[in-house]
Formats: sequence, C-alpha cells, structure tokens
Amino acid sequence: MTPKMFGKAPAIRTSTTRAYLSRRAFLRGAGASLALLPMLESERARGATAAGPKRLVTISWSNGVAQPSFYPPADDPTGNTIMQPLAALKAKTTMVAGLDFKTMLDGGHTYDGHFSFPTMFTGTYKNTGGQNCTATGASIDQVVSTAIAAKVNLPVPLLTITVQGKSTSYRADGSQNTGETQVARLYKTLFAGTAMPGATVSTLQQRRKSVIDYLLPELQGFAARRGTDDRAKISAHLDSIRQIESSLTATAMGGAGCMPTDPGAPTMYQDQVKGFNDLVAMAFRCDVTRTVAMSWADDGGSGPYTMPFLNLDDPTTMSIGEVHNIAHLGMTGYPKKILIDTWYMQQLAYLAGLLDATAEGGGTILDNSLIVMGNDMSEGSFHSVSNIPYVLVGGAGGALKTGRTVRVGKWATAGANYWSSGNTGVPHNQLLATISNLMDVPATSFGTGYAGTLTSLA
Amino acid sequence: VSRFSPAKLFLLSVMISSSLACGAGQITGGGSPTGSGTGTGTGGSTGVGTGTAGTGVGTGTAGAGGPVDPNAAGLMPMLRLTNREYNNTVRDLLGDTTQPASQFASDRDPTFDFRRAGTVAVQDATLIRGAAEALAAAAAPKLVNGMLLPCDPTTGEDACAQKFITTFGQRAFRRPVAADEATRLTALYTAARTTLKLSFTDATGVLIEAMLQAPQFLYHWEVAPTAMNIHEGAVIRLGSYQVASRLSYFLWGSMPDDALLAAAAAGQLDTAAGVQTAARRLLGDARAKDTVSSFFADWMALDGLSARTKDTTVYKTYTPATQQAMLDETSAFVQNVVFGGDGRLATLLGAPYSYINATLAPLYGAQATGTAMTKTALDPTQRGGLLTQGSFLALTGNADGSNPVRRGKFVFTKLMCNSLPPPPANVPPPAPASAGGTTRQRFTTHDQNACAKGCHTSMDPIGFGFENYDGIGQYRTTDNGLPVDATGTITLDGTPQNFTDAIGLVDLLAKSPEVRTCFAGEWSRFALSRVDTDADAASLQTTAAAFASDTATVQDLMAAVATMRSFRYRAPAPGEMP
Repeated sequence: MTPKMFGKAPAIRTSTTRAYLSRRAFLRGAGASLALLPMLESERARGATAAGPKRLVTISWSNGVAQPSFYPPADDPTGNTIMQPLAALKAKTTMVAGLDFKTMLDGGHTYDGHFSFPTMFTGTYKNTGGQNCTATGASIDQVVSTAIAAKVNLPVPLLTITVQGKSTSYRADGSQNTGETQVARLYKTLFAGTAMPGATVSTLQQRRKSVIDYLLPELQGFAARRGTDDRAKISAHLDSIRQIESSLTATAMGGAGCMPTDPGAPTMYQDQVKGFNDLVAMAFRCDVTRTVAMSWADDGGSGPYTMPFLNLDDPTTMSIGEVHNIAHLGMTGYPKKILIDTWYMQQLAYLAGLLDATAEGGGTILDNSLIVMGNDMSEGSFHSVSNIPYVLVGGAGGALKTGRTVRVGKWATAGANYWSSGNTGVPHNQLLATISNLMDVPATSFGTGYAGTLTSLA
Repeated sequence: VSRFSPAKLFLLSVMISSSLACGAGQITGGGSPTGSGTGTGTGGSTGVGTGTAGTGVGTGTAGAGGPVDPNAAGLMPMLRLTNREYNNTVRDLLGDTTQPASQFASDRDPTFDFRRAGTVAVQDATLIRGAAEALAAAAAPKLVNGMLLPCDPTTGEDACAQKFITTFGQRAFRRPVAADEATRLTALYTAARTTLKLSFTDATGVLIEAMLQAPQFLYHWEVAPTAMNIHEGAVIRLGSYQVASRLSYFLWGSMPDDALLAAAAAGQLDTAAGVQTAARRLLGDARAKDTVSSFFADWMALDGLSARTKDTTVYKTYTPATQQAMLDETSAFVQNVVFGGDGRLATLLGAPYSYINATLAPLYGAQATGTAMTKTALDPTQRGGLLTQGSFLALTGNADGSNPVRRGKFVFTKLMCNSLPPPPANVPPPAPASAGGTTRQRFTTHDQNACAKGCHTSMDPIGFGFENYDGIGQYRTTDNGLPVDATGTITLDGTPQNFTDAIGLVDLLAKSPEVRTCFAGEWSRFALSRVDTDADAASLQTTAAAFASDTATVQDLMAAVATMRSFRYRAPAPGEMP
C-alpha cells in the first residue's frame, strides 16, 4: 500500500463546523448554567498564535525491527527499505538512533523487550513480579495533555487508543490510561454530539453533571480510612471523574477541514489501524483533542499475532506467519520481518499524510504536530531494550529540525550503523525530556533519573 | 515464602541465574554448580531441595512441621468488580441480562491467574457511565411497586423515593445505606426533580445511574466509609456484610441474595460455622455452576483459545464452531463433575467420558448428535479428563502440531505450582515440521540448546506425555510419518515417576498429594483474588487438609476456602486508619 496523499483542504467552515458552533450558541441562549457553558473562543489557545496549536501523537509498535533494513545509510531518515513509505515526507521525518531504555538495562532487565511498554514513554520502571512491570510516573502524552488542559478545555484532553496490546500511557501516580479498542465507539465519543439536537446534548450534560456532583464526595469519602494502596486506587478513579467533569463543559471547535465521517466498525486489524488513524486526524482537525497515545501492536510474545493480509504464512518457517515467531528468527526471518516493519511505516506515513493534507497557519497540521513512534525492543531475536528504534514525523511548530537522522551515543562516533546489542549509554529519558520541551513543557529531565536533553535534536 | 516451597524457589533462582548468564553470552552449560536450600513450606515442615544449574533438575519437598500462626491473615486489597461480576450483579440487581461489562476493558491481570479489574481510567469511567445510563434506561419500566419500587409513588413520590434509596441502595451497596449516604442520594433526587425538572421515574433513574457509578457499588468493600474496624488481636475480622459479599462473589460471582443479606443482618456470618452453612446453601444454587466454569476457564487460560490460530490447511475441520464447542465441553464437564458427579480430582483429571456434541464427535472418534453437550463415553485408552480435552490440547498446541513445552508447562506450573524464570534471549525456535522428524525429536534437539535447557528439562519430559494429541487434540499414533513416543518422567512428591502416555500421567497427577495441595492453593488464591503470603499459611493448610483425601470433593474444597481464616479476616493495610 502506498500512502495516499491528499491535497491541502481549504480553510473554510463547513456545515459540520457550524453545527458545533450553533449548538454552543444554543446552549448559551437556552440559559444553561455558567458551569455548563463552554469556554469562550477567546479563551482558547487556538488562534492565540497564527500557526495553530501544537499536537502530540505517541505510537508504540513491537517485536523490534530488521535493523539492517531500517537504519539509513546516510542523513536521509527514509533512506533504507523499511522507511521508504515515508520518502514523500522525508523533509518532515526525523530518526533518532542510539537510545536505550537505560532504566531497564541498569535494573538488569536487558532482555525484557516484551515488557517495556510501561517504560517506553514514561522513562520509569517498576518490577511487579517475574518480568511484569509498571510505570511509576507520567508518560509524555500525559504530561503534555495536562499542560494543554491547563490552558484549553478540550472535549478529550488525552486520547488513548489500543488497537492491540496494552496502553503505553500512564499518569503521574503510575496508573495506566486505558485505551479505546473500538473504532465505532471512539467515533461516537468524539463526534456523537454532531448528530444530536442541541437540547438533547444540553439535557444529557446537565444530567451527567448532577451525577458527577454526587460521585465526587462519595469517592472522596469512600477510601478515607483505607490503606495507602486503596486510597491511591480511589484517587485515580476520582481524577478520572474530574477529567470527565471538565470535558463536559468543552466543545469541539470545528476548525479548518473538520468533517467527521463515520469510519464504520472495522473488524480486521489493518482496517482498525486505518480507522483509528482517520479518527485521530479528524479529531485534530476538529480540535477535539491535541494529545494522542496509540498502541498499534501487541507488546507480548505470548499471544499469536498474525497479519494475514501480508501473506506471511510459509510452510518452511512458521506456517501461519506469526509475527512474534518471525521476529525471533533473526536474519532468516528478515524477508518477512521487513514486510511487517514496512507495513507499520506505511501506517505512520498514512497518518502523517492525513495531517499534512490539512493546511493550518502557514503550513499544515503535521508541521504543528509531533508524531513519535517507538518500538519495545531493538530486534525480535534479542528482545534487547538497547538501541530502540524511534521515528519522529512533524515539526512541533517549527521547534524540531526535521529531515535528519540524529545519531547519539556510540552511534554518533561509530560512523555508520551500530546495531549490536549493548548498553550504549544514552537513556531514552533524554528524548522524552526533549519532546517535552518541543511541546512547550520545559523540562531538564523526564522519568526517573538520567537527566538531560538531546541538544542535537532541537 | 508463599506460593512455592523454598526448595522450589531456590531451584528457580538457580535457573534464573543460569538463563541470565546465557542471555549475556556467557553460556555455562549444564551440570554444575549444585546447591541446596532449606526453608518452611506450605505444608509446614522443613523442606530440602537441590538444584542443578543448567539442567534445572531439582526437587523440593514441603512436609509438615514448622509452626505457623493460626490467627494470622493476609492483606485484603480493595478490588473492583470484575467484568463477570459486574454482569452477574446487574442481572441479579436489575434483572438485566445485556452483559454490559463485556464492552469494558479486559480484566485479565498479567501478574495473576484470575481476573482482577484495573484502576478506573477516563476510558473505564466513561464506559461505566455508559453502562449505568443504559441500565437505568432499561430499568425504567420496572420502576413500579412490587418490582424495583417498594411503594406506590402515587401515594407520595418523595416518600417513595426515600424508601427506594434505602431498599435498592441496600442491594446496590450490598449493605445498609448509611444515613449520610441516604442524605446525599436524596439531594441528588431533589436536584433531579427541581433543577433538571425530571419526572419521578426519570429522577429515580438518575439515582440508579448514580448508584451504579458509586464506589460503594463498583468496589468490593461493603463497609460504611465511617465504620470502625473490628480488631481481633493483630488482625481485623470482616464485618457481616463484607463476609456476605465475599461469599457470594466467590461462590456465585454476584451480589448476595436477600437471604444472605438477612443472615448478615442477623450476625450469622460472624462464625466459621455460620459461614459454612451459608456456603453450602450457595453451592446448592445454580449460580455456583458459573463460578466453577469460570475458575477452570481462567486457571487453564482458556480465553486464549480464540486467539490460537490454527493452520487450516493442516486442520481442515477446525472452525470457530469447533473452538466454541471445545469451550462449552470443558464448561459442561467441570459443572457436571462438580455438581452432578462425584466431584473428585481423580474424575476431573481422569474421567473416561466427556460432554460433547455433534461438532466435537469426530475429534474424539465418538458418537454424538445435536448441539447440546451430552455425556458421552470415550475410549479410556485415549482420553482421561480435562488434560485430554480439545480445549486444553488446542490451546496448548501449535498452529500445525503439538507443543510439548506448553503442555508440560501447564502441568508444571498450574498442577504442581512451580514457577519458571523468564525465557532467555536469543533462543532460536524449534525446527519446523518440514525439517523432518517427530515433534518430540525436534523439540528434544531444541532443548539441548544450552540457553533453553534449564527450563525445558523441567517441562518437556512432562509435555511429551501428550504427544498422542495433535495441535487440535486429535488422537494420533504417528507424527510426521514416524511412531509417536509419549513416554515420560515426572517428579511428584519428591519421587521421579515414569509414565507411558497421558493416561498414565494424569493418573499419577490425580494421586499426588503435591498436586492436591497445589489445586487447593489455586482455589484459595482464586477466592482471595491475590497470591498468598506467609500470613496465609495456616489458611492454606486448612484448605489443603480439606482436600487431602482422594474422596474429598471440589465442593468440600470450596466450602473450606470460604471458611478459611484469610477469607474472613484480614491484616491491617499499611497507612490504614484504625
């Protein structure tokens, strides 16, 4: 599949846009209580800068990459086979090579690549028995969404999606943000209001507000006498209800190109990935959310995980073409693994292409966004959490110097590619801290320890 | 030391260090060093074990003797209703059978064998709200006197709402509604009538919506937030209503019925004898059947079967319908053995019959018609109980053949309660069938790989016992054109024992005290929704003792679990107020 590129959509208000605006006008006109009124346009950060708001997407995929076909021979980040789908966007693509999940390496979890999702975007690690683990701090998507939420009341401050596998999104208390798993349900969550008469929306929101007013003190009192762990569970629950409360008063703005179209209810994996990508792009265009955390692939090596649409089955290797097994084969599995890895880059290119197709400010939504895609390990035959593949697309509003391959640690001095296993010493925490700064959340460190930023990136 | 005897833990550490060294590229191979460990096992005595690095061969024997504190009890973390419990609860509370929690996030906890719901994130809270709204809307027609209402609203709407809060609230919260809680619910009702200008029925619907999202409904903690703990020595005795819910959620996966709430109100659940009586009554109810099926499904991880893709060019008859029939078979089998049969472990692991339908008949070479699962005799030389059923064998089979590792691992970890270190890095998979040789030959070669050896010598000699079953559980005598060798060795109760095939293996398992103790422990952990700790040692001794006899039934075991110390008492949690 070649990524489909779209022409730039004209910055006009559509009928859908007007539906949003008119509903809000109706809410005000109907005398809804002040608490229920959405923020005024002028209160929103959007429009504060001509360029448009910054947005962040994190994407996780798994089972490593076929490294010799992934890392580029030269500066062009799309210069190798697997990265070819992004060739049309190479000026907006950045590869960061040479990062480790150092917090795992230093804890002796070198080969726990199937268990690194909690670490990937938090820079934290806490073992919970065996190879299982959790995060102890917030993921970058959570940090950025919290900072945005302090300025703008968005209907969905942080959108978490898990097409397969577990969520990589965590809150500061280490609790996981559960991902949405159904395309059709997410469409309703994001855009159901567009199909509802304003009065219905208003009644429903008031009713929900009443219930939340009841729930908040119940949750506050429920665990007051309980132990520390139980109080933390209820505290996380309470925080969720508070987030829902604040989003009740938010409405989507319906910006340029906001044209929600029903993606249906896809059942096949490849259609689900596409459906979620379509919805992310719609949500950005309509300013429903500005922060997205997506898991595209199962992180574990336990469950069979096949991609029948790539015709990976082969009687001479693993007959059903199980992705994890193919990754385990190492070099002998490369022909199939390259197909898998390339497919994932096609999906990344598709999402980036959608964002690049909508004009905003002097550029596109993609120019104002940053998509960060990371894998859970270096290569499937090792399970190693050193040399983690990271691909960045988008300019973060001009903050990121794009179109480059940035080699750090030993990679910077090794000249060409350096993909042997080992602790090369540059913690991925520094990438996360850098992203935080790119997204206008100043940071000198991110996660647990390993302070510093990647100065070569900005 | 909790789940495993120290000897086993020692062995484990040897195997872990072996695998780590391997992963780091320092392959030491099998043979040495040899170590020994001592400690107190769950049986209470001092056990001695030896482990050999690299080969992983070792034995640990937990005997009887060491002192355990009979008054101790482990912690009781506050848990949320699992999806199954949620569905069952709204069925019993509202008569609603739409199973809304089937749309919630998975409650599979990777750190535990049985279901545990996670923290309520925004997505979860949103889905819980959606379910509550749908349930309240569907309940509206039932808001009449004699159904969900205890009164006729036409005789006074506000007074009737008050009564509804008390009666429905007691069932939703599974304990009497405290005065301040009732006051806040009344305020919500009043706001719904006045501010939202809703009718009596709609405002009552708002109450249902709210209560279904309240922590008192969603969490297992049936104590008024302001109530004081009942301290008895160093531990806390659970309140009557907490015991009632613990019983009903363990034995039914659902809320207490009126009789159980009445027993709690009368203080009848404050003694072990009272709990025993109540447990036996609950076991006589049809709802207990679902719990037994649920235990076995989670214990065997049967939810993974739907994701276990099979090569349809090899298994042409294997369809989603076969898969479903396999799951239905195991569910019907365990329910019938536990509630209609002799309820013994020997039958669960050895019955020469099963409950099958026309879909499954060809798999077993048996005669059965129709879609219903019917008790059917099977060839006793080929089939004996759960581990020879299609569900288990297909789940633990490969896409195109058997998998001795997965099958051996189940026995080693779930029936013998051993643990395994993580697999080392960089072990190539066994050769495919196209490389020639039987599955056993190819896996044996794989196991000689120094990295893999430590674990596989524990699992594979057991798993080879199932070589008479292909990837979907069909019986076979040849594999890849060569004769099947299903002989093997298993070390049970400290003694290596040989078997000739799976029938011999399951016979050894059913007779083993080690397996009986492990099985009793699994039920205890299922009931506690957590792994056991030192503080639960006395409790696990009582459940193991209740199941020690060959003639003990699973119902006996379940009743013993319901009365064990750690089920009715708990340790104070760190940070808890007295």
